[in-house]
Amino acid sequence: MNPVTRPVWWNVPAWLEAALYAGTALGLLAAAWGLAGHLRAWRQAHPRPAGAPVCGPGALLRVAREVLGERRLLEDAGAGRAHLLLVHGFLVLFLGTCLVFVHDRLVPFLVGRVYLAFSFTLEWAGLAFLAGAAWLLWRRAGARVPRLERDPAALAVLLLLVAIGLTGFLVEGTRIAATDPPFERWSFVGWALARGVLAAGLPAAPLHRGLWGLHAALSCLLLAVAGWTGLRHLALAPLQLLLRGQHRPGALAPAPGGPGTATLAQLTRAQVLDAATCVRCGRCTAVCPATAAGQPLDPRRVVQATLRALRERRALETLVAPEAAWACTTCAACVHACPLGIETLDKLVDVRRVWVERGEVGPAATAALEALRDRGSPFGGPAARRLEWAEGLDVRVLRPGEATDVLYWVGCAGAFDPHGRAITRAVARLLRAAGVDFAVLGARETCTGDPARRLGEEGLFQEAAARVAATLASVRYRRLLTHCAHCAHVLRHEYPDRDGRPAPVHHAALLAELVAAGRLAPRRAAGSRVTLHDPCYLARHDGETQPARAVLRALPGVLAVEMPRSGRATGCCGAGGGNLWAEPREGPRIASFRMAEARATGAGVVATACPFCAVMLDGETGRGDVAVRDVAELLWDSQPASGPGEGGPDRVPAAPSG
Amino acid sequence: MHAVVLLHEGLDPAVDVEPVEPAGARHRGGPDVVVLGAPDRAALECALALATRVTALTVAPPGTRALAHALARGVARAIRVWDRALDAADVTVLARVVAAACGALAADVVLAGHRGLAGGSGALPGLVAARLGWPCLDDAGSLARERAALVAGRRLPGGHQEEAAVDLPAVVGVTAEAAAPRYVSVTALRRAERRGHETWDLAALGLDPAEAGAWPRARVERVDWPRPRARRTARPVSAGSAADRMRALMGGGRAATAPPETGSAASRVVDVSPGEAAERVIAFLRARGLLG
Repeated sequence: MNPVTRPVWWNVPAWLEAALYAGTALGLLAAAWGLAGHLRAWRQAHPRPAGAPVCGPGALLRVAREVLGERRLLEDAGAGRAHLLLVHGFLVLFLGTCLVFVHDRLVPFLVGRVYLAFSFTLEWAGLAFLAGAAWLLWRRAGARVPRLERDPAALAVLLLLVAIGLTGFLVEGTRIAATDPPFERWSFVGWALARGVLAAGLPAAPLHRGLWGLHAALSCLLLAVAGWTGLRHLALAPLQLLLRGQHRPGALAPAPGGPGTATLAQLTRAQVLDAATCVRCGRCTAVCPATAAGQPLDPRRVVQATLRALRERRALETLVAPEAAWACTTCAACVHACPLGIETLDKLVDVRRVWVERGEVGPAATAALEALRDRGSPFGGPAARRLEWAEGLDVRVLRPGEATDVLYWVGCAGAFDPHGRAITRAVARLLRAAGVDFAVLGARETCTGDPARRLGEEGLFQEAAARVAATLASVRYRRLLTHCAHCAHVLRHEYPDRDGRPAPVHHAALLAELVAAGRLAPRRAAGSRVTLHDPCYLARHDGETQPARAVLRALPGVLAVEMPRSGRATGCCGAGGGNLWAEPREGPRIASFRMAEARATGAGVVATACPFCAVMLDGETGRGDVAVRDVAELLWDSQPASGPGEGGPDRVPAAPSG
Repeated sequence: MHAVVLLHEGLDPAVDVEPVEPAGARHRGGPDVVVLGAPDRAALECALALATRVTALTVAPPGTRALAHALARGVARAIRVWDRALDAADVTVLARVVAAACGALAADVVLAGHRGLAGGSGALPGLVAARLGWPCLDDAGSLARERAALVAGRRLPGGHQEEAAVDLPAVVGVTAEAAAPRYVSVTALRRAERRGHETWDLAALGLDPAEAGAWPRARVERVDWPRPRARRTARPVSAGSAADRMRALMGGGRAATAPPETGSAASRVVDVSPGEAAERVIAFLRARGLLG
């Protein structure tokens, strides 16, 4: 009677066994050769973030969770499940192959019930692997999922995977047919195939030997192409996830070697790794608001252009059209959609930096940058007019050396834009109603530099940031408050040295806190059906999605309804990345898509929590069927003491000049 | 061709000019409200586009940023002429100095922004040309080179347009429409500031400073500052795009007055076929007597 185990090299002649080892070595060598180019580029690129710890137990655990749990991949259910089956099937099969090696060369432990359980498990793993590969192949070749390109290399790799899965089962089936041990019923797929081989009267042993050779050859081929195709993400994805974990998507940093992308020293290691790891799945392109609006930006092509730039030693700006670079709203939808966290916007900002240095900037962006440089605000307003919003409110202006509990950073939109001013007035009134000790900087406030950095004007950002940092250092405060999501983001993440000063709190968070503490008590109805537009820089970049909802929930008579894209998956309004000033004039507006989504909810009010979003969405209220209101405006409207019209966009008499 | 471009920093038109104290600073807001005017920037761009060698020239006390801007844009030399005798100089005095400098620089063409370097007077190009004995072509809204001549397009009152040519050497005054200004990055500006510019006094131009102080000139006796005007903050323009709103706001932070939301003057965006759009435009113009 046959022992309950598998003869590992059954029917495999010594020369074929040697060929397998040689093929494996060659395959590994080829894969390493393919990867070596990327790793060489990675080593020559700039290490950033400098000084940050590369990894720790927490980071490794997070990466393991990402790789095994595939949370982001599962956001697209079809692709996610197929990939999950493929990866987990492959991992179990790989582990099984390692165990077979141990059994064969070290400790023969795969016998008896252990072997049966082992075989049974591997059958399921093989099925999962084959099903996952076939599903992915079907999505790319048969179902024609729009975001997937007809990429011959990707198709070939998937075909190879399917072939390896099929030949693996056929090898097992012919082996069982030839040896026919009754315990191999546990290898249920192989057993069924063996019955077929026997029924067809096929010569099982010769067939097994041929299929074994084919299976081995295909496996070696897979190894060989792994370093040269999208399969290299098998090796690079964990590294990518590990290094990206240190970096907040959308938070920009100075170009390491000055403006330009011509040399590797001007690219960061993260950017090199991004390019090498991308599998061109197109999730980034599928969610890009600029792509949806028909603008010439395709995030996937930007990442691929980076790879091409590295291979051909060309500057990235020669491969990315200026129109594509300027179309990006830096909303980071692409980064969050990418299962590997690959960034596109940092590469586009690098390209912008080159154009800025060459003076190739559109007239609207030029006007905004020059206004920021000359008058301290991209909105063009001089310092003397910064406090016009406060007319009649008797707001305290903090002077150097003075202290306050809450320092209200009004921002340029809050100081100069009509709707922004109304939001600022609502926030100031609410703070007063809640008894908060607050003050503003008035004419001493200047732009944080956010638009400059995102438009690629790094030098101007550095000067603006230094100016703001000095202003903030000249006063004392316990909390820094801002109602601008862009100011909040840049002050939190891009001002390298806050010198112990607290990070800014967004007004939605403070207002929710005041409502929860009972210091603000909404009494009056402030609208009926309201939908919240999450600002990208608040929800996606900073993960703050709940405070604004908490404020809305507290409003009497308000029914909050969600848009299909909400929370961290919010839809962009089109203002970010300097597009508030330099929005492309051709084609449909990004804001019109977002407003259509809001209208579809049946809401009469679109609530938001960023003045940039308010400006963009205001421009889409032409039919008058929907109003755009900041959560602060809605909360002020609901205050018992406020009179009619006081909380909304109002007419503010200007401060007397001189 | 060697071009000398005359540059001048003036008050930012988007910022209100207001006295801080009767005999003190000229305007509130400090130096931030001084900028290189659009016509001067157009003249600089024209010079860079047309000439093989460009020298930027200004007549100003220390502290001007105009020359750093020019250096950052790529001029070969930047020269600031100043002497105490030039304080409160009028256009005739400036013309003498500029003519002397251009003679010393052996310029083939002198380009000046319309109403740039003479504090609002448009007479400088003509006066410089007269002193040099060169022809003058002023108000150029476009400029092109044709062999040894420059050809300019000019808009005249009443909607007329003309093309004028001038043989070199010549003095040319350009308007802001002559060339789109290019952005100059802060990094390039700081680099240019570090590079520095040349400073010439009157003696370097062969002029006697003592004599220059006695040159006849017009004097400004008094300045009446604009009265404070009441302004209104408008409701957001619901029918306008964000870009239009930003353009309105960029005019110095004055909130745009909202157009009427209803009625014949309302701003409207209509999405119709080209044919229907043309009919609507014709009807609009007919209704206003602009089309027979």
